[in-house]
Amino acid sequence: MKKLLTVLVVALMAVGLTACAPKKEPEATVKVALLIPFRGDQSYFDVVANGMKLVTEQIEGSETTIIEMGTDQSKWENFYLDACEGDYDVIIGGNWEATPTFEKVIAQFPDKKFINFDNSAAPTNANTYVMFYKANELGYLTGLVAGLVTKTNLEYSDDTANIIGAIGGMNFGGINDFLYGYIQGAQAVNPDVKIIVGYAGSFSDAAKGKELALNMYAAGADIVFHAAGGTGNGLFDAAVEAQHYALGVDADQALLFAADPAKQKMILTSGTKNVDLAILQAVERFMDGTLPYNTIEVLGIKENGVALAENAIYNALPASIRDVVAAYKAKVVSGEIVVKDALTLTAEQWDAILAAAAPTN
Amino acid sequence: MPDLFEIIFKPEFGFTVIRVVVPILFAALGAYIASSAGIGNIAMEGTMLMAAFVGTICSAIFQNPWIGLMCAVLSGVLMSLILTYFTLVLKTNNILGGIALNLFASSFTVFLLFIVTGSKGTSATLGAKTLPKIDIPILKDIPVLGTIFSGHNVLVYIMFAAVILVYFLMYQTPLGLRIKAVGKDEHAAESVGININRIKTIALVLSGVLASLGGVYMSMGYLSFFSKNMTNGRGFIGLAAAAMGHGNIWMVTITSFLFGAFDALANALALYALPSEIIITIPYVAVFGAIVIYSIFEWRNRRARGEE
Repeated sequence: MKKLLTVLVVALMAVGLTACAPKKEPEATVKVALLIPFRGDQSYFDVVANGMKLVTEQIEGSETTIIEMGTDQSKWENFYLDACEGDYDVIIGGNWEATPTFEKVIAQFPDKKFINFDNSAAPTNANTYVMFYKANELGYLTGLVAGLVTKTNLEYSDDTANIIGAIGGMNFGGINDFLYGYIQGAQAVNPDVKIIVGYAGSFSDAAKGKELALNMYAAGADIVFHAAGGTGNGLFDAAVEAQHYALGVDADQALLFAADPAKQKMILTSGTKNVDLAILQAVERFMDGTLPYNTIEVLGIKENGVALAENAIYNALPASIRDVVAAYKAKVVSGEIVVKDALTLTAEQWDAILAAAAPTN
Repeated sequence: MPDLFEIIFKPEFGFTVIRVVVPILFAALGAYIASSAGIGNIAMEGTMLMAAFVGTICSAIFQNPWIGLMCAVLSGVLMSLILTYFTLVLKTNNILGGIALNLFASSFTVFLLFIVTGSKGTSATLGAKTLPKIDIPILKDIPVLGTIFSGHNVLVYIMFAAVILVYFLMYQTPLGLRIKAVGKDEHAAESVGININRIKTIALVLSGVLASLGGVYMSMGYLSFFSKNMTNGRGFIGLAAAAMGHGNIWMVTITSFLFGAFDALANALALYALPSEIIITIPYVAVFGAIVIYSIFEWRNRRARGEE
């Protein structure tokens, strides 16, 4: 038995060695590494990872590697160090959680090139390019849809209450930016609309998200948006139960429910954060040599950094709604409308905005 | 400022409280039985999470929610037997064993979820079947009561039955007496010929079954999918409710409902432009306050009876 095992192990190792032997392959045009905690959330990180797929598909001869670092932050530094010691031409990492570790490592590799795919602060190293997305403009787009839908008699909305809802994961600037945009978008097309905002205090409590959404629907809202991660998944259950509409965030969330058409048709559209496209553009600019290092670029509607998921469900909406959305979108692109952001607001200012938007009772 | 009375004194609010309380009360009942036998089963959270996951997956595989429910209960039994093995055979500290199981469940469910669905977030793509809602004949036509008690998920009625069954078990049967005897003083129990390990195993398995019912409610009743860490501390709240119940099943039940009621209130108040930080803490602060008041009364009563 032991002998058999030894033979097996040796055989395995032999196979392993041949597999490692260098294969004749044409030299890659560009080698890109992406470091993220994990894939498979069917939301944010899957969109980020999709950026590597776009690079592989659209840049001929490119070689991409996605490194999943896990959620234990103490291990991230080693993953970044390993990636920097590899022979990648450009290393993509970051987002608000990993940026401190990422920048600490970058400082040790001044000759390498780095892209931070999502952070709100300018880079601290001269060889880094940072991208950020206008969450307020994402919220603005979904707000336009919500404001128009609630005053239209659709299958699951009616023009009686003129109330819409939004669920926030937690009460801080990054999330409030989505919500502030949503409020502005809705009020732009529907000045009398009232907006109910509720916080779940968690990004993983789907049951809480469902409770909040059910309460909003019961209070007269016929469409609810969320910026609450996993908590927001409960919203879609509530939408089916209450027979009203919902709006997704970050990725096209209707895609999640291909197996459940009754739920899918309630998710009219999603405000998407197009990190994948942004990564592709950044890598292309890296190859052209036009990537501006030591710079942060904030991508909004104009740069296609945020957009609406214009899927079949959205396109089934009346043209009168979609035309208005497109018109306001064009005004943001041209600069005629400037969507205000919530990042610099104080808690008092934000509370006052919420109170002014809320239904009076 | 919202009108509190308008929120609370609506039959729909009663319906919501019941819906919210189910996972907490199941966990509390389970923790109550385990602690009656002298074991702190802090693996409730992990057992619930595992059951929530197993239930959804089996329901999707067999396209039958009842098979999902059965598998979930089996997973609860299995989790409890693992804890039993840790504590009774390997003699590990039961708190450590519980922590290990909770950590295990929170990552193992995500691991399996990824293998089955390719997602690490939710099982939404599976389209699993959920347990049915039940309209109670006659009751559903009675105003107020019908709104509060009819039309719930079938597990809600199983929960009410479970409270009564656990009451009978603990107060009316020899097994219940033995469980309590072992919890009070295991050496004394042993001296009268009770097989301590057998009683503790039974208590833990029962607590695992109850926890798994709470878990399966999360993914197949309350919601229609499994999502990562979806129990979100409800097992621990159940443990707290059991501890605050002072070994009295009615107090355990009432405390759970208090948690549920204040949670539902917080969910209703969250829609008003009030400071969200305060609203989120309402259920915890309120129950804490209630327990302080209850404990003071208890203490006074005991002092009045001359026990201290």
